[in-house]
Amino acid sequence: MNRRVETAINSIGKPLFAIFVSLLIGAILIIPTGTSPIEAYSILFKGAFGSWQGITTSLAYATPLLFTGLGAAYAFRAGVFNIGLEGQLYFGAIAAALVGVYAPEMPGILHIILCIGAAMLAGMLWSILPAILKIRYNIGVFITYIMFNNIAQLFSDYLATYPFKGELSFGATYKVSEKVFLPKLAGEMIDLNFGFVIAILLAIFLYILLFKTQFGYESRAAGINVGFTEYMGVDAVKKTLVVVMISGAIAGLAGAEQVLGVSHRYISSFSPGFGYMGITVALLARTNPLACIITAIFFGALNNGAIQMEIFTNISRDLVTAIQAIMIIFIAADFAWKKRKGIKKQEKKPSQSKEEVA
Amino acid sequence: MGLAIEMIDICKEFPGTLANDHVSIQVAKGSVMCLVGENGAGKSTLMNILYGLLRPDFGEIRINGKTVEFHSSLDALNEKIGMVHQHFMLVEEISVLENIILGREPGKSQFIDYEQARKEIEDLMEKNGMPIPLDALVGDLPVGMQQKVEIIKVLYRGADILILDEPTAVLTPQETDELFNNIERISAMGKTFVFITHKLDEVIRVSDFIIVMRRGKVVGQVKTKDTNKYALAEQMVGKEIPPIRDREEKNGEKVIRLSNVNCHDHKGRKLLKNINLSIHQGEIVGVAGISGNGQQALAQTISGQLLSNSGEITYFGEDFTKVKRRERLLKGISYMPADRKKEGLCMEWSVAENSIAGYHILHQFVKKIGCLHFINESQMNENAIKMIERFDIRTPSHRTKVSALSGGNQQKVVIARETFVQKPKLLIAAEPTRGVDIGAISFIHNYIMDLRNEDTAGLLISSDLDEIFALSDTIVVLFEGEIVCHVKASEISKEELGLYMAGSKRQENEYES
Amino acid sequence: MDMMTMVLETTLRLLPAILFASLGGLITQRIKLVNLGLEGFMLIGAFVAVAVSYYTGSAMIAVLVTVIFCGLMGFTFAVFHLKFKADNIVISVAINMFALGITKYFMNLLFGVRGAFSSPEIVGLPKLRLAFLDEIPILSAFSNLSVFVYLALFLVVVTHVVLYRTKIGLRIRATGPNPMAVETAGVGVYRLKCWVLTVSGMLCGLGGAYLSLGQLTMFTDNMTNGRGFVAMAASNFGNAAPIGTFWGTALFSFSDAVTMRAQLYGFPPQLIQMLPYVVTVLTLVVMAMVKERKMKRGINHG
Repeated sequence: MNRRVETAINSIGKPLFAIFVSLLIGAILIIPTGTSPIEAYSILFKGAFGSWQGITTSLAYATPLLFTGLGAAYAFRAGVFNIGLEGQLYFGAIAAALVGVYAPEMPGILHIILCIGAAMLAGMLWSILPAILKIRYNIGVFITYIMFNNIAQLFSDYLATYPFKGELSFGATYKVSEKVFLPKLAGEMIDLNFGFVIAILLAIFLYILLFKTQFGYESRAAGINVGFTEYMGVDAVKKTLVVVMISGAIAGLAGAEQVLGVSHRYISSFSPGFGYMGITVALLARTNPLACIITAIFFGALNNGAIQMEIFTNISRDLVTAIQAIMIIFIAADFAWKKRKGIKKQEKKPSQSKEEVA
Repeated sequence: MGLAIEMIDICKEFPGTLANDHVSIQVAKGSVMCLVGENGAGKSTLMNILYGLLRPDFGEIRINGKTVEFHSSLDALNEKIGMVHQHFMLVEEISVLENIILGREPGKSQFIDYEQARKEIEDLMEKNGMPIPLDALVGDLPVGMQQKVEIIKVLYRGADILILDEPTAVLTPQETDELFNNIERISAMGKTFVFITHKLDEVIRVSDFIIVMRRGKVVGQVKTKDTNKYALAEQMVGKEIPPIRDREEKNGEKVIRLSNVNCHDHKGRKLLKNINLSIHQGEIVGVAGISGNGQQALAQTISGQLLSNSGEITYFGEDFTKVKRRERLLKGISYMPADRKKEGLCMEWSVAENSIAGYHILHQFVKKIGCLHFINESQMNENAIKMIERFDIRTPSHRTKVSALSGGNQQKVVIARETFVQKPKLLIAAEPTRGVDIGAISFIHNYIMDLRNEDTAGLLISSDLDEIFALSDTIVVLFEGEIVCHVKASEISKEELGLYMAGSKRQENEYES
Repeated sequence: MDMMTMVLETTLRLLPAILFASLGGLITQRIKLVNLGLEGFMLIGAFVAVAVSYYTGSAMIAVLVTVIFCGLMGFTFAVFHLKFKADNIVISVAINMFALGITKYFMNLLFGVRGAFSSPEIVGLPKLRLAFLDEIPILSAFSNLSVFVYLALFLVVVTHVVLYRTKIGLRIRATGPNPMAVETAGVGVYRLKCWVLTVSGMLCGLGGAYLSLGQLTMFTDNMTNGRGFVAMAASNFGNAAPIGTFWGTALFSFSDAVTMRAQLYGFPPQLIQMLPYVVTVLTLVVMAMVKERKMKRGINHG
């Protein structure tokens, strides 16, 4: 078989297997509700893709996931497990909202850029601190990132509930200036907005950055082999920090998209875990930015379809969260087929001389 | 007395190398057998097989005449085989007592009977004359003491056969003496010792019987009283490898000069002490020494990965002390690291991607579009294809991952990258032929010699003395981060070099260069 | 009750949930394994406990089933991590996500509600009434506590004894720093690690069960709310020693208790809820700084 085809199948086959197994387990979980799994899944599918409205809503759901997925994928490639995306997203959102509401009069385009810039900066700053603590004091990033997630959410909620509370009765800021609304792409009623286009462009840009440029070449090396990276004259620590910052900025962008494109204000606890779902998106895409587009849309559709399913059957949409979790586990697992091949090779009697290629 | 160990026709292959090639050995009960050979001769592999840590591809093991098959070290322990590893298998964070009983804790229930343990171990220590403070943390003890803990641990498990892997590598002379006394005493009580080393003095002192290994094969078996260390040395290093290209007389300009260079790691331990060294065009300086005596630090200090803490480095007369790796690389200092898997190559990448590592910033591989520096892939691939052809790298294509290549071909990728893209003015080659098949060895040797003849300066770091003698014009010996010997290659013998490497001799007069 | 007694009482009430889980984190930390799945195990434990208690009417059966169930989850973690080589952080993230989704799903499926489930038919954990303490200042905080408070304290002692006096404890302590040493001593490290993860799951199960049957008598969405992570931090605080971990847990519970009291005085709840997380991060930083200083001194002296 052509080698390229073979690798392609290998890298697609495993995610497909994971999807299949997790949907199967999902089906088993559906049985006790009395609804047939086939019916449930077909309602889910129709809800997600059955109509123009369904499709565009799915894409709207996919947008934040694509952003966080890209943030996660990019960090993974450079060897950093950024589970702090959720917090970076919250800070990005509040930053965008505050700039959107309180910045002085200025031309619309400048204002939008300012909002987005503030969001990216906020995400970036919030991502870098745990990394510095790790480098300086060797404190495990996982706990700090998770603590930082909670702190960021609570602090943003506080800002929206107390000092910057808007006209609404619950914790939310004022509406941002209409000039900074991201244009809607599929009518006023559907959340799909220009952020989706930005996300797609970003995915393409990141792909190019990662696989075609010098910078990407060096950061990929830092993610795989630190010794090798230092050997070729690149400061691996510095490289990693830069990558973490980029990853955090992307998460901040995700927050900005939700504020400027969807809710038009910061609303307390608005994220249902976009940051964590981004990790799923990235893992399922095997950390390839272009593949993230597909997996984000897949999860967007799954989430959208789940709501339809909840409306038309007695199945709670939370099932989909559990299915996604199972998917992650099965993608992360390395099942035995590769290993068996390796053992066979070892058991072979030593041949005289060996040109071990292929 | 009967045979304690018989290993018959043992074969073990690792990707790219045949570590044990039909090896057969026999050891009599109650004797001390020494297994000697240079680094990479296959001694440790053989012993790991005997201890059940590795499984042979082929062959048979008999213990006390009984055929056995080991699936894990537990099986070996049950046959009363114990091993003291070169890197101690001790847990530094727990006490000596706990280390000794680990896995064989006394006590009927789950609770450990510490009283009984203490009594048993104290008896054992007294019987074997090795007192150790039982309540100290292992991490707080000096190395020699830690080794005693290992030996007591093995004896506590009731071992009759003790394998010691390079036990003296980390010991001071005094500790070594003590170890030998202990071995003598314990073997007199009927225990069998297998002693792995490459230090010949020790072999003669301690053993009854010697087996010499070289490149995975047994090349000699003698009684100690019938041999001497010169004969052993010759067997150990073997006959010359295929002849190397002629050496042209050279009298070139000084390329690099290190004066009084000192280096320490982030914990403050000295890696290099007062290094004074110059290398000229068309000169290869061979660095001999037992590994771990500062070779890597020396290579990295010159390559620029490690900046010296004091001293001065000049390169063609220019001050290079504070110049970093990237600039040194662009100015012609090439480096083939000893560990190609961890440093020299990115195993997950293709040959083409590896072929420009470090040189990816050269203008021919960069395409600038806007503010982005793209990698010029067509140039990269073209370069890789040329390299594959020029160096005869056996690979299906330049897109193949380097992990799929044999050791020799991987090493060719490294040497090609370091010399082909840009001709080096100084080439640092660390263990250039480790884990490489014979064919590739002579190719690499000839190639390095060609470069020398074309005026490249060379620093060759190798634990293979043959290689050092075959290629070097000048030889230095590193011992504990210091240059203890600096001579013309033609003016020293292997045996003498060995004395310097072992630290038992030291050159007094400074070498003029 | 005076202020101090009330804070003490609240601290004691909040303590067990985190303490159980931090013991679970402690033993996995001993085998050098970051188990962030504590959170998910706890949440599932809390749900299973409420469900079983509701259906059987017995808190004891509920706890038993929860412990077994969470033990199995821990074992699954072990299999995927050790056998199928899945990254432990990835699994942890997945387990936490799974717990969040599956508990909501089953709450809806079994009880037809969203958000929270409470019912008079849920039997809570028994309390130990010590009436004679009622009138004694400070100690009156102990007069009406769940038996699980004492169980948790007892388990700290048990963990200490197991770690430092038994065979398996010695092997666990040795596995973290040098698994090869344990393996070459003829102990199956793989099986040992499986056991540790299983027990870790069981302990989290206890923590979850206490949360939903002891501290409260209900289940709410995401009711663990980061306690698993705090537990992990507590075991870091205590350098994976049982006594130190206990103090870490006490510190976090205390700051939690203070927050709860402070909320009554009208401070913004978000800021107050932030406090435990800020304390956690600050503690880790301070600990690391102290450790570094000690190390430097060690080098200068030796």
